[in-house]
This record gives sequence, C-alpha cells and structure tokens, in this order.
Amino acid sequence: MLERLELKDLTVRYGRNILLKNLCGSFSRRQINLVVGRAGSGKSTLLRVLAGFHKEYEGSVLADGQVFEPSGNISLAFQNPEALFFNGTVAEEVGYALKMRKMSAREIEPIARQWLQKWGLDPDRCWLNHPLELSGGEKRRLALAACTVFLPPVVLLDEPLAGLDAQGQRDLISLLSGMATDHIVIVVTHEPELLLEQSGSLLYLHADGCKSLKPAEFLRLALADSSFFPLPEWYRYAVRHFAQSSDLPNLRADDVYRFVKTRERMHADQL
Amino acid sequence: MQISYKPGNGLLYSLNPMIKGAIAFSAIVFFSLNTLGLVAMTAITAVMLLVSRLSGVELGDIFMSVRRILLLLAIVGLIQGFGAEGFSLVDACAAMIRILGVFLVAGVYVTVSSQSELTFFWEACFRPLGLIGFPAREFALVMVIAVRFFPVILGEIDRIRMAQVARGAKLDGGGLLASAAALMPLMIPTLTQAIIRAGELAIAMEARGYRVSAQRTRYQRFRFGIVDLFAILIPVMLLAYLLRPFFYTAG
Ligand SMILES: Nc1ncnc2c1ncn2[C@@H]1O[C@H](COP(=O)(O)OP(=O)(O)OP(=O)(O)O)[C@@H](O)[C@H]1O
Ligand SMILES: [Mg+2]
Repeated sequence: MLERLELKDLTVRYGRNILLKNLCGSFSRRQINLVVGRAGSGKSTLLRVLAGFHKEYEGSVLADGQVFEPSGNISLAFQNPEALFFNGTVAEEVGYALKMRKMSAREIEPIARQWLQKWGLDPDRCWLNHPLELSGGEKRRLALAACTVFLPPVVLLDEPLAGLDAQGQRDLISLLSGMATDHIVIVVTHEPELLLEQSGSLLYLHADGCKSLKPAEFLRLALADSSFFPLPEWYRYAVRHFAQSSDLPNLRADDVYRFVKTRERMHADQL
Repeated sequence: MQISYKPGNGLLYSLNPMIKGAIAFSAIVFFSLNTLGLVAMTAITAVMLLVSRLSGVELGDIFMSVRRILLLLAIVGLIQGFGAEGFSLVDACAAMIRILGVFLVAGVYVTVSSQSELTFFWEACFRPLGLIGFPAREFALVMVIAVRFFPVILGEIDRIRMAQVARGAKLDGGGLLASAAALMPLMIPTLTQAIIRAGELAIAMEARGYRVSAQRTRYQRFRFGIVDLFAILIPVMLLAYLLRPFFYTAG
C-alpha cells in the first residue's frame, strides 16, 4: 500500500508563465492532505500534474521513493463531480470503472454494492434509479463512489465540499477521513477550516512561494494576517473568543474545532 | 497555449472592426485560393507578420499554436507534392503556405479583435439577410453566445475528459461506431452541462430585461478613421484580384 507521495522541486508552467516554482511537500495516508491558496494560485493545476494530465513541469513526483506513475493509480474529481454521470442507472454508474477494467458483471455487482454502502448510499433503494434522480448530497456521494470504486492508491478531489449543506459536508468529511486509512487523499479546498481537524498536512500555494505547513501553523498565520488566507468571519470570531481563555501560540486546529462545535451546540440549546 | 484577444493599441488594433473583419475575411479567401505562387505568397505572409509585429501582436503565442497543425501541414504537403512528374518540393511548400497563411491570418485577427468587435462584425454581416425576412439579429446573438461560450465549454470538456480517463474511459476506440460509443462518457456530460447552462443563461437574460425584438443601443461606438480609409483598399484590392476572372469573361 502506498504511504507517501512526495513533490521534489516541482516547477509547473503554462507556456512561458511559471505557475508554481520549486514546490516541495509530501502527502501521506491516515490524514486528509489539504491544498489551499487564492483563486488562480494553481491548485487545480497541481492536481492535473499529479494525475499526469499536465506535462509542462520540471522536478519529480515520487511514490514511496519511486517515480510516480499516475495512469491507473489515481482518481480525479473536479468541482461538481456529478457532472460526470452518463449512465442510465446508479448500478452502471458505479460499475463503469470496474467494467472498463475488464471485470464481468457478476464480479462487479457485489463490489459496487458494497462500495455504495460504504459511501452511505443504500444500494437496495437506489440500484436501478437514474443517477440524476438522487438528492444533491446523494449525487455527490455517488459521484465520488463512482470515481474511487477501483481503489486507486491516490484520490485527488477538487473542492469536494462545494455546494453541499452543512450536514452533507459533515457526512462527506467523515467519509473522506475514512478513505484516508487506505488511500492517499488530497483535497483542494477554499474552506480549510472545515477540514483542519482531519488534516495532518497542508500545502499553501502562493505566487511568492509555496509552503508546506502543519494545520495549526496555517491557522496561526491566517489568523494573524487575513491577506495570507481569508478565513470566514464566523470562524475568526469563534477563535478570538477561544484565544482569551487559552494560549494562542499553542492553538491546535482540532481544539479550535472542538470549541467551535461546543459553541454551536450551546447556541442551538439557547434557541 | 490558446490564441485569444490580447489588448493592445497598435495599427491593426485601431482599425474599425468592419475593416478588420473585411481584411481578415478577404485575406483568408486569398490565401486559400493561392494563385500567386510560392515566392509571392511567402513574401505576402512575411509582410503580414511584420505589420502584425509592428502593431504589437505577440507572434510567439501564435507560432506556438502552429505546432498543433504541423501534422496537417505535413500530410497536405506530401499529398500535394506528388504530381505526375514525381515529388515537387515547390508544390508541397505552396500547399503548406496556403494553410499556414489562413491559420496565421485567423490567429492575428482573433488576437487584435475584442469580443465586442467580433460581435459588431457578425451582426453587420447578417444584417443584409434581415431584408429577406431572415432573423438576422437573433442569429447574430446565437453566434455571439456560441463564440463566447466556446472556451468555457472547451475547458469543461477538458475537465470531464480527464476525470473520465482517470475512471478508465478509453476515448479513442477504433472504428467509427466503436469510437462513437467510446465518446459517450465525454459527449453526454458535455451536452448535459451545455443544456443546463443554456437554460440558466436564458433565465438570466430575461430576468435582466432582455427582449429579442427590442431596439438596442451600443455600449461602445466604433469610429471610422483616416487609417481605415487606406486600410479599406486592402480587402478591395484582394477581392478585385480574386474576382478578376469574372471580369475577363464578362468583358
Ligand atoms: N489552459 C490554460 N492555459 C493557460 N493558462 C491557464 C490554463 N488553465 C489555467 N491557467 C492559468 O493558471 C493559473 C492557475 O489556474 P488553476 O485553475 O490551477 O487555479 P486554482 O488555484 O485552481 O484557482 P481556483 O481556486 O479559482 O480554482 C490561472 O492563473 C490560470 O489563468
Ligand atoms: Mg481550481
């Protein structure tokens, strides 16, 4: 099983424009690996490089020390992955990736059903439905299930939480951190605060230089300077209150998260 | 590298959009008919590139994208080069400069024309058809929307292609029927997205008060300058030259 994906001095170009320069960092299993940065900083492009679709780069991507061969070893989902549906039934949609790997229908069915179950969809209920008949959150889960059913070692997701309601986001986050036990999960996001608790490393992309950070370091930098990264107001507010009762330098992402959650619960009780 | 409008203010940029369009159109016809022979065509191409360069057009990007048609050029050169007397390098080059010329003209035209200038030209071209009851303005609108959405849809196709290939799709199956089937994972999502987007656009336009039949004003006025007066000679001369056989037979 693949443990680590390493970026060695990666320089990525579009024609003559240098987009990412001398990027170093690593992604590993048992955590969600975040990629953050302002719009246009090259997050999606980095995923394309990792997936082997963008070839204009120097430097190397190593998988446990060997040169990484993306073909067949990755799954890639861009924003709104439900835009990928093209089959008439949920069954065919999930099974497609296996069918293309020359498995027979008899082999595919149990695997696909089990995988749907794992993504929180009841196969008995939706097996023969049209994929577009599902609810928004269900569609997202089906799409990600369909992208990952062949168990690629590396899972690349571009803004998987976008457009979901809070419950849908929470469900998805726990599914993703579950996936991280067996796969290297790399998530591009504009809402890192939602995932800081589950993440162990964070790659911050910026034109003036990229940084590989621990989530808590990232949080501290973003709180100190909102031009570094614009965290949402409600989150800054919660953290400010938290900081009065505890020491900011030791601020850990999961502590903040737990605090915000208890506050949420308190608010709910008051109402 | 994609060729697209790069703002600038050189000579070619400052031409009236009608003149720009007319020059581009006549030059494309001129190049594709290519009656002057290799040496003259090469010289004309060189002059055209020089004028573009002096107008501040970044030729580098356009040359980069020539790479994409290199194979096409090579094939055409090979086919045209073989005549009754064996392979003729001159014929091969003449055929290639024909295609190259059309490509370069289109590239320069798109680089120096903004979206609203292209729209203006389209509308003007369709206007005469309005006289015979053809819904000219509506058709121009369709063209403009199509042109404007084209890069968006191309980007979308690219994203969908990558994700489906990662799932295991083989988008280049052999044979016509096989490849049509292989393209399903690409075509169906692209169409679906395009239809959804078209619906949203229609609602958004109506919500902002767009009515097809209304009288419209123009945000930008395009002037007709002294330079245009001279520039208009180019398409007139090109077209006169191209139509020359008809005058002979008539006269
Ligand atoms: N096909 C392309 N050709 C040339 N430049 C491109 C192309 N695609 C993207 N770029 C440029 O690369 C830069 C990074 O794009 P990218 O999509 O990776 O950004 P991003 O970090 O994912 O942004 P966002 O948060 O908005 O999704 C942008 O400035 C964009 O203009
Ligand atoms: Mg992006």
